[in-house]
Amino acid sequence: MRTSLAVFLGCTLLAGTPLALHANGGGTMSMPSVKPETPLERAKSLYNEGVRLVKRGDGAKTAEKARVAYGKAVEKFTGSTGLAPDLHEAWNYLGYSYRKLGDAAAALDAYDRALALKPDYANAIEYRGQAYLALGRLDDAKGAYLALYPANARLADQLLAAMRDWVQSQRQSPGSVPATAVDEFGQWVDERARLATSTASLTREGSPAPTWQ
Amino acid sequence: MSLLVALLLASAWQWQLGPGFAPPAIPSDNPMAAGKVSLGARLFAEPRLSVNGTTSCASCHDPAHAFADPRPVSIGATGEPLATNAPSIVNAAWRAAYGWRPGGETSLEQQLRRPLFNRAPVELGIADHEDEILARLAADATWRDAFNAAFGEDPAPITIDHVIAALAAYVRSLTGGRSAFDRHVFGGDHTALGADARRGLDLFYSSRLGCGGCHGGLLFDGPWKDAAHPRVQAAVAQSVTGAGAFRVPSLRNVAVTAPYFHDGRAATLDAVLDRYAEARRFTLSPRERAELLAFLVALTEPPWQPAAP
Ligand code: HEC
Ligand code: HEC
Repeated sequence: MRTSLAVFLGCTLLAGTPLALHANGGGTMSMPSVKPETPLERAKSLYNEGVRLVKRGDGAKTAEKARVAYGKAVEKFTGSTGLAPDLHEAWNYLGYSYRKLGDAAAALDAYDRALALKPDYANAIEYRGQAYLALGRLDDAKGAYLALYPANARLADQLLAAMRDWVQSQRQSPGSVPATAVDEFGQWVDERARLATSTASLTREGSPAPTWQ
Repeated sequence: MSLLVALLLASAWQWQLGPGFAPPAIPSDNPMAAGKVSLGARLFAEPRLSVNGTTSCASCHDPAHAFADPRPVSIGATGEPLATNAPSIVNAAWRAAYGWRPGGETSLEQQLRRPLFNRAPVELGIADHEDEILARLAADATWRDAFNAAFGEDPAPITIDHVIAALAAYVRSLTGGRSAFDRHVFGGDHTALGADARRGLDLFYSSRLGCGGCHGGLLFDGPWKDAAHPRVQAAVAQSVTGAGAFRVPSLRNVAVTAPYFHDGRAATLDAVLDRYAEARRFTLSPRERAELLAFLVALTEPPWQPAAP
């Protein structure tokens, strides 16, 4: 499954900086701000630049172009979190960019930082679940799914789909996880898929209309 | 103020929530606190809180039956039968509205005025006897201590408002979510539901039976409210008994909350299923019936969970 950030990109750009999108739109420098940027403003600018690079990476035609974009994004988000260590969105995207570069361990560290700041940050829980999968940490991946299931059915489904892909790929080209563990995990995932279908009305998003008849 | 009192007041409330549950919405003027909850627990079981010293909340909300009444309809302090069966109040903190009929109170503090003050029929019957009942409590040093521990900041803490606040806090503390169902579905332990109960789950949520369409949500009573979603509407539906519209009741702990329906007319879950099969025109094979029952029983949690067959 391809994880696309496009769905929520629109609302994750941070406002409140003189160099944000609109100010610099079209690539030309508009009205230079007289006041120097504060560290937080600079962090937000770097974050916004990083998000644009992530978007470029997600839409890249070739793997090489994507790699370059994610690599640059890592630099932006690293700069951003260095200046504003409380910016949980930046930690989340740093994790995302690392994961896209294939560095699941670094991604995991970044997600941990995001979730330490905002424990119910559903997007980071989902991404961290994917990082756990990549690292073969199956119990932790299950935990991520179970945290999402009652709270955010859409992201839970997304992680479940990634889990199914992972099982598939492990069966095709076995990795470090033993085959029995892969099978057991595959059965767990199948049961979750059955439950997710039948118990939609159990979760908030699937809960029934307020009045009946 | 004694040190103990100060400690109790200061101790923040820790929710013990089952997997899947988010903290309930708490009114800002009645925050949870350990001293208040233990005062509420004591008041809940105290017959002196009724007009003639015979009846407590626990007389109708029996802790041994998940705080529901095992009698078809509840009986008030003066012997008058009520119109309805007292439902379980476990998990009441998440309920969108209270009472069997549509349009019930949406806050526990409001709802609790009913059992305390209702006159026709009388439940605890304390209307017009408030001062006398408060004086009874104030005469007892252990009650004075308990009210001080909960409301010590107030120079005269033994008041009806504080009785209601403590009872509401106690009712909110009655949280569940540890049934086999929860362990399976929210906890991810896929050995928790036996094969029968697991097939019963599919039946319950199937479009043929449609139980989950009304008994949806965490409590199996439709939309629930929590701290993040404090305003939701309670689910209401026509009863299969033909008696009109009722709020969809929760099915948690249903194995120990007999008799069933608003007036306790069904003595067993089997009788409930008979009514549904007739009214909603489906047939259940004996095997399916056993599976559906196994599922309903699996919604019941310790300490009420029946021993494995
Ligand atoms: C005489 C029996 C009786 C007594 C005593 C009694 N209740 Fe109830 N309770 C009922 C009945 C019956 C209902 C359902 C009322 C209806 O028909 O809507 C109810 C409903 C409730 C509800 C709403 C539950 C829901 O899910 O809708 C709560 C909460 C509650 N009672 C708490 C209390 C507390 C706390 C006390 C003590 C102050 C108390 N009750 C005393 C019989 C009683
Ligand atoms: C149309 C909505 C609706 C559907 C569908 C529905 N119920 Fe109900 N259920 C209700 C309502 C409303 C009540 C309360 C009726 C009353 O008390 O008269 C109720 C009551 C019950 C009770 C009694 C609970 C108690 O504490 O008294 C049980 C058990 C129950 N339902 C199980 C089921 C099962 C099993 C199914 C599927 C076969 C089902 N329900 C389908 C709305 C529904």
